[in-house]
Amino acid sequence: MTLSPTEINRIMELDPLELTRDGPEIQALIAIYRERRTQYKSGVKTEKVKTEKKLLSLDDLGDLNL
Amino acid sequence: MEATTIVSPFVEGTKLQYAWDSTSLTWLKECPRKYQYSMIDGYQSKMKSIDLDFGSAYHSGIELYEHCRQAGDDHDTALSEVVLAALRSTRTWTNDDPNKNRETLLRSLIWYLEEFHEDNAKTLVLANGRPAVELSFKMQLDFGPEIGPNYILCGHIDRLVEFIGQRYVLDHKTTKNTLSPAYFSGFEPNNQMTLYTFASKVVFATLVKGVIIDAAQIAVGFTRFERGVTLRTEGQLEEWLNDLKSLLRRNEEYVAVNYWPMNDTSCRICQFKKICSKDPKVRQMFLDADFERRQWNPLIPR
Repeated sequence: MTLSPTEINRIMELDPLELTRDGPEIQALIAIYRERRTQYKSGVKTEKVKTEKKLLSLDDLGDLNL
Repeated sequence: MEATTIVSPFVEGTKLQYAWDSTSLTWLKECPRKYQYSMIDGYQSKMKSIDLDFGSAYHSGIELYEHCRQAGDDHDTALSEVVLAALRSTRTWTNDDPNKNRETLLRSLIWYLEEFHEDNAKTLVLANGRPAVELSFKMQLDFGPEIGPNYILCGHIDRLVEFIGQRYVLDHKTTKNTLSPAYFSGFEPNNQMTLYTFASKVVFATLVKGVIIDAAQIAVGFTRFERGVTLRTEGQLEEWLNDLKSLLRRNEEYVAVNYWPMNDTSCRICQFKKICSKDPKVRQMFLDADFERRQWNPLIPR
């Protein structure tokens, strides 16, 4: 079962006093966060894009107006 | 109906504090002036701290889970109970903070409990059958000021656990910072962790080796957990107690002259930096404008 992230928003906006422990909303929340944890653990959407470092040479110092 | 009596942590009619917790001790250790503003005068920031609210809700969720498991609930049932309770207790939260908000609280609780529900650190069970979680303690020391009772140390311990044959205090921390060796080295030495180790040995009569820190890094898109251990030897505990004695004697001197000096090497992350950088004549005006009075009382149990 794949749940849409908007499902979280919908449940968050419900009155929590109307919800029950074993009701579908609480179970849906747990399911989606479990799925996200699995994705996080497997590296999905968690890889940071590393910016490449440029090695400066002596020629580059000319651009710094030293 | 009987009114609840709130006991003051100060000796009656004086500014001499006799009941100390790690928060008030840390204020005094950092800077006597900070201690004066925060503890004696009771000035706190007007801004409601999401860090405090988030930490408190996170602790409550883990505590509830422990109680449910102790009462016989399985993992899924206890987790469902925690999620429902968290939704209810945070229904008035606004999601202004990208890291610490309702959604990241639920995520962090679910991920933590999924990760650690078959934990090697087993919660100890008290003699009354309840799990050793969220324990308030109060212990009297064998020294005190000339006036008033002996000093009291008090506080709240998240959990007492057994881990690989040894006993520890387990403390939960939430942070937006990256969990690195530098993060954990901040707890060594550390007033709170030494106090908890010392108090646990005495109050709960158990051989506690130190504190396990279960830290949660609350990022916008993920929560990451790291566990660190900080140990305390008998010698370190004895040294801490001697230093405490010396610190509290010094505070008695401040009380005697009604003056808590500024430690101007400790201002970098202090909330009163803006106040102390003003001329002394106008500080009171700025204090009243920028802060509100809320008395911190170490004697109120959680």
